Amino acid sequence: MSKPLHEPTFLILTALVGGPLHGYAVLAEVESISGGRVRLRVGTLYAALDRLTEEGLVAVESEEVVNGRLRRTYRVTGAGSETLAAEVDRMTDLAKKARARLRGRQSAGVSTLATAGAR
Amino acid sequence: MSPERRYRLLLLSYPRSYRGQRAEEMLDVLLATEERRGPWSWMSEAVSLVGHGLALRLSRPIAGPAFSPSVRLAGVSLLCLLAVLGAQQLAAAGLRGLGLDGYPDDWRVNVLWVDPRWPVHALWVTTGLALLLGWHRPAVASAWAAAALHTWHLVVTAVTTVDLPWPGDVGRYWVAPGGIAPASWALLSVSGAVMLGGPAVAARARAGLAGRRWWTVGATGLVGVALAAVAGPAAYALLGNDQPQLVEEVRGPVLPLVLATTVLASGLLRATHGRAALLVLGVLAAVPLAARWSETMGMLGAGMVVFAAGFAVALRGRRRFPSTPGPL
Repeated sequence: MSKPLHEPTFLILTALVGGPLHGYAVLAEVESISGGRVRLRVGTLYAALDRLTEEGLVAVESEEVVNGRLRRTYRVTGAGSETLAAEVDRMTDLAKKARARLRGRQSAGVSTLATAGAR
Repeated sequence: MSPERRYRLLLLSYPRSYRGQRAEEMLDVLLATEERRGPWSWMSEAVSLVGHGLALRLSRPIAGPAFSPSVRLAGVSLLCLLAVLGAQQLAAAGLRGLGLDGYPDDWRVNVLWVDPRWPVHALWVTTGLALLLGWHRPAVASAWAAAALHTWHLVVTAVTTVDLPWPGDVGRYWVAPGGIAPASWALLSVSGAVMLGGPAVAARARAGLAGRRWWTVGATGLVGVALAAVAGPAAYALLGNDQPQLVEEVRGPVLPLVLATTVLASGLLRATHGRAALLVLGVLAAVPLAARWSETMGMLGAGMVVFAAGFAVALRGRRRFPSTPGPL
């Protein structure tokens, strides 16, 4: 079983799975996906992109020069999509289990209250 | 300062090769982010950039100078012997501070004169221990820290002794014993660090002898330290004040170094490149030995070592850059 992804990594892959993006667009997309809760720093973004590229989960889609500066566009690879899908399955499974337990606790609470009321 | 210039300065924390690939792209994103998140966002970006840049620098393999295997093996051997010397110096200072060294004088902690080079000795011990444990990166860092500190002591002592202008008072606690003999030890400190090279080089050099052999050298050195600690007071009890020089020799580093060197030499004689490493060690050891004999001989020895090192470097340079073919 692969290791769970860190939240920034998960969010970067999620941002890129919608289509190729350049660095700044990835930052904006991550902020949007997380509802403004996660604001990645540029250093963190590039450290994550380096690692993901090295692991073959992300690749450089294209390079262009904008305003005299190099701009790279990144995309998720097949392996990256599979890793993200596996992580989503893992999180969904965990969420289901947590929800089931919460329901059990709520129904137990209701029955306890009912018993206490009967006394 | 303009945002671009500020970010360019912060990006200097990244390795040059990384900056060559990424700096312009990152700068573009940094400037766009500052526009979106506000002018104060650069402060948290600064922490992130410097942190990641330094982490990247530290995680890169450090390439040391390219030496022959025998010189590298001699470097590890030298640092092991310096670790034994450091352990002896620290043990002697501790025993003297506790009044357990057999002297009848009132030498105790806060009364005795502590050699200000004790941090160098501690760093030598750290280097030796790290090498024994196979922790090559801390070993390299510690060896260079010892070399830098030792050189600093040497400079401060020289400047203070000849009363040269110096920016600020360095304080008497930094002043180590002057002269060629202490300087020759600093030469060994620097030589050891240079010859050790980077962690990968150090790992290959350490593999020149079996791991068990290095541990034996260290253990023998420590036995020597313990023997010197006991033999010093015994010699003083037997000889009293008649032979103070002999008593000092007995309690000094001679015994631990002789024992450790004997075990090391027996291993080197059987190892590949070991004989050449022993020769390099012998040349280096000749400097402090000659300096003990006379200052002039010490200076001559140090000059010869520097000359030999320069000659070797020049030979390597000639081999690396073959002469261009002459005109046809």
